[in-house]
Amino acid sequence: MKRLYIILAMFAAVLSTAVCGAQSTQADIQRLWDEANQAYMTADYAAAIRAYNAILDAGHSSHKLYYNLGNAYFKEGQMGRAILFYNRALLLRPSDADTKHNLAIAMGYVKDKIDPLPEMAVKRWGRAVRSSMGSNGWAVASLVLLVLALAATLVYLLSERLSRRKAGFYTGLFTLALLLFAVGFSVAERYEILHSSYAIVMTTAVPVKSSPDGASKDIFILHEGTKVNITSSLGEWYEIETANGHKGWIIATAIEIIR
Amino acid sequence: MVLLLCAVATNTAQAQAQEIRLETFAPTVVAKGAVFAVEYRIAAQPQRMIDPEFGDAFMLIGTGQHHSVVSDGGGQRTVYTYRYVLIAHETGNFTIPAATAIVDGRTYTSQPKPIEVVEEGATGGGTATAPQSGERPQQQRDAGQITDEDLFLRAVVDKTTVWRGEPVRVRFKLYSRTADLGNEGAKMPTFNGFWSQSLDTQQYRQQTETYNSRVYHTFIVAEYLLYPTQSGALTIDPLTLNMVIREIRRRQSRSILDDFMMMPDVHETRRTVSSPPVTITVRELPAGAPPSFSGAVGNFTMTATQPETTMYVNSAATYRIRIAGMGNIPLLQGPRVEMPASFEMHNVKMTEDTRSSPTGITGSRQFEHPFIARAVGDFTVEPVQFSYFNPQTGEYATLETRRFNLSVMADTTGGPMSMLDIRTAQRLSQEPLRMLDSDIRYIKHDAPGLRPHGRVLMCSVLYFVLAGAIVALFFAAFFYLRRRITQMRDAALMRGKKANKIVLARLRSAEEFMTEGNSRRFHDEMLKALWGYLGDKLNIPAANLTKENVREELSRRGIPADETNRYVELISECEYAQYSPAESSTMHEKYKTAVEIISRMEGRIR
Repeated sequence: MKRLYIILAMFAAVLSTAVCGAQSTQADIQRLWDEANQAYMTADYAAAIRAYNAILDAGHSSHKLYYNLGNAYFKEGQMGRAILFYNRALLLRPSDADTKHNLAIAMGYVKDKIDPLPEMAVKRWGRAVRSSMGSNGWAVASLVLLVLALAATLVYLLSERLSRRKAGFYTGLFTLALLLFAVGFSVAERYEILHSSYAIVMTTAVPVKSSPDGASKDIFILHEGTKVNITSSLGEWYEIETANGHKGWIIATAIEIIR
Repeated sequence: MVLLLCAVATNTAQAQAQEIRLETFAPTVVAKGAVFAVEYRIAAQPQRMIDPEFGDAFMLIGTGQHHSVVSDGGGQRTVYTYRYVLIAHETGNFTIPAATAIVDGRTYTSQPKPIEVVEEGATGGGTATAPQSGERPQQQRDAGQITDEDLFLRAVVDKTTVWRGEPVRVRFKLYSRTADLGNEGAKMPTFNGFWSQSLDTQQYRQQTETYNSRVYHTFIVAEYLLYPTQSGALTIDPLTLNMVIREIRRRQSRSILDDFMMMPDVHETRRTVSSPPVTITVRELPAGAPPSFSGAVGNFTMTATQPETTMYVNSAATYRIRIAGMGNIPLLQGPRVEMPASFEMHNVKMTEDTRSSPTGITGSRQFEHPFIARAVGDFTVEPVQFSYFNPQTGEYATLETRRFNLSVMADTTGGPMSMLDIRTAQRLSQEPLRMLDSDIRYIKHDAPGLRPHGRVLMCSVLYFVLAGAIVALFFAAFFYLRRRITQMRDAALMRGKKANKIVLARLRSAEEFMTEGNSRRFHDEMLKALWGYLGDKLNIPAANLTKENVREELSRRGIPADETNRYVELISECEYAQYSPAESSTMHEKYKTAVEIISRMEGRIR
């Protein structure tokens, strides 16, 4: 019993330090947020972009911030940046309908039309389930499932009646399976956020080379807003793969990684 | 009656007399020294013909007369022709004098006609100027001698610089020194870059005119109105004619038979003539066209026939717009008609009425816009605009119809329609949401929900602390609950062990009350003993002690049903006897039964 109290106290201490640290700049950040939104409402998109970026520079992010910044870039006509920030918003909140809608419209301005390679149905469903929540959502879900699984275990271990013990056993097993999925999804989403290998082309048109060397052959041309997957890097060159499976080397300054 | 007939007869005679005219056929231009003929024709036989006086400028070298039968719409008529062959030997403007014919005692006089005698240029070839001893000097020449100057085709345009959409009139004119020509086929140009409208050339007659100071017979072969559809330098391609030139040759050796048969020696030569290409400079229309401009060039008026100002819902009406005037009417596009959204527009019907003349195309185009009113209410139909370019002024002009109001009424049967009926009609005519445009959705302006960048709950210290706390809580709960359960089980065991002692004490006190004869206290004590024993032995809290619970619990522990029944019966008897003093006689019996049952139970319940 005593041990539990110590753990709870430690937990409270961790929380309070985190909250206090944030509070010092909280007012400034809120002011910047209001300022940026006001600028957007008066169609001063350049000012809105500056203010949103100031929040980012202060080390803060959220899917709403990325979404609004994407909108501001869209209105400024910078489709590559708009698509980049919509993708970043989707990393944090993969299920946000507004972001998906705006990304689809922004993608309409992209010159490259790439049909992705077909995916197995099971993989597609898995991805759909996974992207119904972000990493944090799955993390919270995993904790809730942990509580349920342990509660079911308690019932199994302590109940005297056989029927209750059975129910506890199967419920525990089921919630444990769900728990493993939730943890897996959360870890996967976390990996996407921290180590995503996807990038967006930022320049109007950029040649993709056959080797990491400016003098090598141009294999194909990519245009602003196209999404590519980085498979390897060498110096200031990235090896990229398009959604339809074409590979080549691209200069690092031409793309921006989503994470 | 006879009088009437006479009147009719004189009328007819007068009508006939009025039809009879003495007509002059003469060229308008002749070359000096050339031989030419002047003919007077009359459709009746004259008794006498008074010869005209041609004057000093002309020399009469022969006369002739013949008659021929011609048929016209009314029937056949005989035309008498008097021919005078002349040579002009002075240049200048003269008059072909009037001739007079006397028919049935009436005098007919022809109209004098002007004639011009010109000096032909030196280029004209010496043979043409020298008068030959025949009617037409050309006839005596060999076919090889007919040069390009004697027979050629020209494309004559009325303008060489036009606006795009402004018509150019082109006449393909054949110039010939000989009138005896045949046409064996023509190849019309394709008029690239133009929209063409051919004109009727039947009205034109052969004429004589001078070109390069030579006299030619001219024929208009074809005439077109050309509407340029693009700007820049456009070329009117050549028109090619395959001509046959007929000549009557003087024979070198005349046979008697030929002379006798009067067979002329007709020689035919074939020749192809083409018009030289003509370049037309087409200017692009000036910038600043109004938004309602769609390529109309000319001068137009617009009239709109508005439908009735009131109509019933779901009924149809038509909005007619008619554009009339002169210009490129066949290329005209109808103006844009915008009706309120609840009006169902149907396909536009277009009717055209045009006439082509050498000056341009006149007429009208009518655009009918049928529509059906689908909603009740008062609507305003905005003005329809039509713009055109006027090549005369070089400016754009915009016409506009009047704005008008339309009120759509609900009833279709004459009676007022209920609101529900209107709603039903609206529901039936529901339309899917019409997307007008697509745009990104608006920004989110509620709390931003900011977090430090790159911090994720999963795999963070906080996550492991929380998970650890949950697991710790589980173990704590497990051990705590397990101890509580063990304790409770022990307590029940204790109570079961003590149950026998307690029931014996209670039965002993009941026995005392029995010997005292206190029935009330006896039964009270008996109930306490019976219920208490079960409660302690079966570990049932006092509040849950009911006969049903007891029965259930006993049967669960393997006590036979009749035993249970007797026990419950005993409890019921004691409860009953508690308040009825008459039962005191059975006290001993009850006591004995209770002791027996409890001692039996004690052996069975563990």
